[in-house]
Amino acid sequence: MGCLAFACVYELFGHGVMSYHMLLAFLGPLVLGVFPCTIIYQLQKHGKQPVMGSGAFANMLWATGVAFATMGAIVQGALDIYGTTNHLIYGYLIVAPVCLIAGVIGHILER
Amino acid sequence: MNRSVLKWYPRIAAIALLAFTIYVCLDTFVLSTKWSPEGGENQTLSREDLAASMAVDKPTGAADPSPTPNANLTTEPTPTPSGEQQVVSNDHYYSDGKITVTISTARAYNTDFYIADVVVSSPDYIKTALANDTYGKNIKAKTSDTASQNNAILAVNGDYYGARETGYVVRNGVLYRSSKTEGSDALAILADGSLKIVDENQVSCQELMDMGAWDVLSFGPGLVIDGEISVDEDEEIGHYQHNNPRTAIGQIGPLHYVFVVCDGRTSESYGITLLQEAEFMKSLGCVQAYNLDGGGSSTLYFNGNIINKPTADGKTFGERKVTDIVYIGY
Repeated sequence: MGCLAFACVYELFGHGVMSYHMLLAFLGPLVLGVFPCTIIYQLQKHGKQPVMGSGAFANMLWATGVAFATMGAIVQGALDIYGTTNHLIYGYLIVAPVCLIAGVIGHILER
Repeated sequence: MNRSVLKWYPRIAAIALLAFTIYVCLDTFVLSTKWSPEGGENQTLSREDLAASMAVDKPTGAADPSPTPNANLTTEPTPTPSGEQQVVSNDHYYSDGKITVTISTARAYNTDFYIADVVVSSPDYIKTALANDTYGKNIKAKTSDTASQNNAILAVNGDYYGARETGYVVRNGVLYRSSKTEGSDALAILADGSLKIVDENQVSCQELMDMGAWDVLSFGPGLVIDGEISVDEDEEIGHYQHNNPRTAIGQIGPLHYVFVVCDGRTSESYGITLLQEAEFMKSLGCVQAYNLDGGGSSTLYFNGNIINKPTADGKTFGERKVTDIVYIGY
């Protein structure tokens, strides 16, 4: 919700300039955070074991990936609205999937 | 897993993310970086020699690449070069026998337009300049400052090349950047003064230079190409709103140009779309017309004064610092 609110406020002051990266940044924490956590919580609530382990460090790696993906989308959106480019944006594109994959592997190994 | 790692990892990750994001923002908007031109600093061919080679290379009987004047226009008087020519100069007019600039205003689409009609006796008088005479990122200056430093009679903001890492950049015969921007049109000012608009996907920067390009700008799109409007209702820069302050350059005939700037984002001047801009340029008789950076960058400088009302937000007025200009001068 915070990402969506930020995107709406940013677009409001952007003189009508729109960026899909900015508007869809909220999907990162929603799809990669809220949905998996909800599924795992429901499985545990009904006494079923989640498919992955529940290691704290693996969770942290996954959260890091989500944070980098979300922040990368927001920064790319700001660049789109300003009309500029920066190759450093690839840093987010590298770190985010690496952390997400590391988190998945960590969960599998802990299980 | 070690408890200290579990304790410190979130903090380290958060600091790393914040630091990286701050660095990306500083690098994008604040930190000045001088870039090296791809083509090196030395120009091997002067503009006169390049224009002469264009005339030699032109095959006999082939179609003249220079735009032909609009047949509906009355004949424009051509300034004749002379030894001692009296300079006539005021807020709306300049003439010295080699350069003639006439400033006029118009009102269309609920927007104020400022039109600079330029006739020169030599292509040497249409030039470009970089802010602080330096090629790089975040190296910016007001259009008026760069113009006065270069003794410009007339100037408009350029293509703001420094905001992007791609797009052709050729200035005064020097190749600075040859990487293309996908889907973008480039404007080549050839050594003989003619304007040529190309699709960067179809024509490389080197090919443009081989054609005799002396300056190449990359923003676009092309508004009028070979006498025909080349934008449609849905074409806009990225996802920008349709109505904006705009800057455009056009050619009516050999060594006859128009520089047009319009206001926008205010209650007095709404701003225009690219299609409206193209229609306006064609109505002036342009056979080639090209859109330059607009919005808060749009600035028209003439004889030491800013003619339009530059604004980024429609509330505060003043020039935006830009990376380059196109100007008329010696």
